[in-house]
Amino acid sequence: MGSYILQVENLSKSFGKVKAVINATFNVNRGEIFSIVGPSGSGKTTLLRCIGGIETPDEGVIVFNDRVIFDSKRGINVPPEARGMSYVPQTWALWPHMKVRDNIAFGLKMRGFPREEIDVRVREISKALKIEELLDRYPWQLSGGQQQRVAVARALALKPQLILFDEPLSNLDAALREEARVWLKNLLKELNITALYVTHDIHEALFLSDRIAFMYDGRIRVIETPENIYMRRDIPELARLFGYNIIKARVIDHERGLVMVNEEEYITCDNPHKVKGDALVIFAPSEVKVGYSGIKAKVLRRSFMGGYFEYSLKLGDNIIRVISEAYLKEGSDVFISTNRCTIAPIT
Amino acid sequence: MTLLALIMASIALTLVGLIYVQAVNARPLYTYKIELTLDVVIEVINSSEFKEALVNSVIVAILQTFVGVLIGLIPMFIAPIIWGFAWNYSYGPSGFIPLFREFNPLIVGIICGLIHVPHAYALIASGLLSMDYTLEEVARIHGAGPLRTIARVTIPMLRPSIVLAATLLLILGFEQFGVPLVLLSPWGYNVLTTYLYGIPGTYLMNPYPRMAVVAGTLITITISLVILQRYLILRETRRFVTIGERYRGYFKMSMPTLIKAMFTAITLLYVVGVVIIPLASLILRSIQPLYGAGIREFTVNYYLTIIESESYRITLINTFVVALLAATLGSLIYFSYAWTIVKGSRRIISVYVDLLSSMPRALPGLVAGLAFLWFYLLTPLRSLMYTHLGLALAYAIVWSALGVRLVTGSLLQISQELENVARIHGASLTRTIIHIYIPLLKKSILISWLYLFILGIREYSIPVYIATKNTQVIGSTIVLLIGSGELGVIAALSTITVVASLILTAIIFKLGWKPY
Repeated sequence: MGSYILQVENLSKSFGKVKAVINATFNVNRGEIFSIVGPSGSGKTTLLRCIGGIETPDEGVIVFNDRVIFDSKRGINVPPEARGMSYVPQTWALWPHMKVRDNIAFGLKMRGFPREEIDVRVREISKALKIEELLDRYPWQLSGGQQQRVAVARALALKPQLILFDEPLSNLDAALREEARVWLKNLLKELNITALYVTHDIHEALFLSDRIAFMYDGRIRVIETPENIYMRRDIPELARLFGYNIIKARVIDHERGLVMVNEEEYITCDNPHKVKGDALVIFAPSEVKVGYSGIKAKVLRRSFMGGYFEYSLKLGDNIIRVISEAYLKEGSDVFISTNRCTIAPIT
Repeated sequence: MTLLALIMASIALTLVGLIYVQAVNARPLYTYKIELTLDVVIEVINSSEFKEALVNSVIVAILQTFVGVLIGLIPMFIAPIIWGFAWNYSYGPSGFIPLFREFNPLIVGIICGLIHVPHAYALIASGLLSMDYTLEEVARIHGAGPLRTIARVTIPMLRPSIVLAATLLLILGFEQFGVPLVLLSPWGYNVLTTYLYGIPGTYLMNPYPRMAVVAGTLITITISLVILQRYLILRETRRFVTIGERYRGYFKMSMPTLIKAMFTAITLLYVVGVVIIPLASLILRSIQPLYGAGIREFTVNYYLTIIESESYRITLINTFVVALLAATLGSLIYFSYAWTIVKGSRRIISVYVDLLSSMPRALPGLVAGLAFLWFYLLTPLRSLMYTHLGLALAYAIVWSALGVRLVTGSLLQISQELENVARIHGASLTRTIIHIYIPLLKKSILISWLYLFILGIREYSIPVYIATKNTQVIGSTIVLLIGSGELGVIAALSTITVVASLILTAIIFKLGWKPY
């Protein structure tokens, strides 16, 4: 039991008729970066807010640091300020009327730390995050990247058992986001911080996380390590996040995994025994071979991506995405094959 | 917070109830005897005076709406009753520029419209400022000229603001008391409010059921209009949802010189004709010994009278004390209302408070004062009636529709996440209010306080029935003086209010106040 810092059991939350979170159950280990990934509207932010205490779940149990902080049956609901977590929201929410220094010190003041210790901690954390020169500025005088660092500093200053992150990098531009990702992972690992990290960006989650929960329509569908979740192609909603091709097909021989994708054209998938009849076939754009054998497809559009091409191909009624180094003419017919494709039931 | 909001909102509900109950009760409410009857209702409704007053109310309200919505600009901080005098002294039969030989509902409707132009202007301007300018830019680039862009893009986009302004003016029109009292009553015309005011003088024996019928008619009209307004606004806003972030740049539309000159001329004419001349006439009247044009003598006697007479001195002090109390009490009440509406966890309570806080919008000041009179007489709060606090409480509750919108707006501008982070980082709700909300709202709290204070100084209709000998304020004193012929004193008292209001208005504009 002791190795879990956070245990969530059967947590549900509805807004009117909309079920935002349904029966969420998971545990987070000490020192782990645990991500919750899902498209927008999947309920991931609501789940995070329930754990932080900003939202009250309808049902379920939350145990944090061996203490029950929420239990719908026993009527326990510890207010957010008494839970001992910290929070980095999507908008960062730096208090505009306080200098950076006071923003960072706020939580420490609220928790009754003596003044000297607050000063020491603010100095320590701002040095570690290289924001010392910003301490006497107001939030509006900072760039996006600086604001993001201050928001993280504010959360770290409390030396919390758990930091809640709600898409903290989504307000940064692409180049800065890459950089912040590396910085954040190193920081959390060096300080051995446990983090619950919500994002809609699967690649960000792969990079940062020790484990990832994939959430869709209010339910946690799967919890895996980054390596394993990348292999899970039998969940179409997850495959869509990865940008995989998903086409409709018909299973001809479910013993061998033989699938008809087009009239009289077949491929073999690597997970037989799964589904019968109409199904979905899922494969990655980078794992398609273009050559002289396989299924016929038509090149619709070619885009040069620097070092490789990205193609739109018409395959029967489907349009698929293919990444290849080969140069193909727009409008020409080609033959494609793949050695890794997965059958999934139609949902 | 929630409890305070609930109690205050319930008082508003009681006030409306009292009016209706008295209307069907043959005996005065304070006798605690109920004798249900529809006789008075039928009698009043059938009386020709009532019918005439009703028709006049409709004329004034509709004209005020049309004229008010059509043009635009200048302070809305001067009480209508003072405008009444200002217009009488400037354009009245014996004014400085005798434009009108007499006043009738048509003329008064137009005057009311002209002095309410700022309300409409403020609402529409705020719609204009929050509009996405790229919409107009695209229209221009796609080939529409400036006028076509205004007609096809700007005005349709402003429809929600225009609907809001029109319905608001219609409601204010039915509530109009000061201008008709000054300009119409002497000519034998009545609107519903002045008719209501005149009843006790005509029917000395138990005038209350009769008054309640008229007051009930008024609030039935205004409540229906408030409901209509809510419905229309809901429908309009649903149709005009803006998607994504708004681009807040300023796009200066190039306009033909002729049209620009025309707009400038209209604005100038308005400012001079509607604002400056009447106000100047009022001030002039307060320093002239005799009424009428062409007199070259000046006097400060009226001001001396006010300063020397103890009762006027007390009136001045009362005005400030009551305004001060009302602004403070109001700020507190509206914050609790707004908090419950915006942050309330129980939706049903939020909706109840939201609805009831907007209900006094339908309570004309005069009617509200009457209802408060009964409320104080019938409840254990009776002793409050003779105090400044009692008067201030009445102000605060009657203004709640306006005040709540003021506070809700600024509360909504503070991102919920600022509170969330504070809570998760260890601050309790109370400390979050102290450390996050109050510092962030400091300026808007000050602005709304000052705004309420100005309303307090100019208020004249609420205290008509509930101000007692010791709590008389400038507004109610002016109303009482109307029959006395003390025109110079009225003008001097009005000038004092105007000057005080204008100074305070300048301050809150300086602080960054935005109308609506």
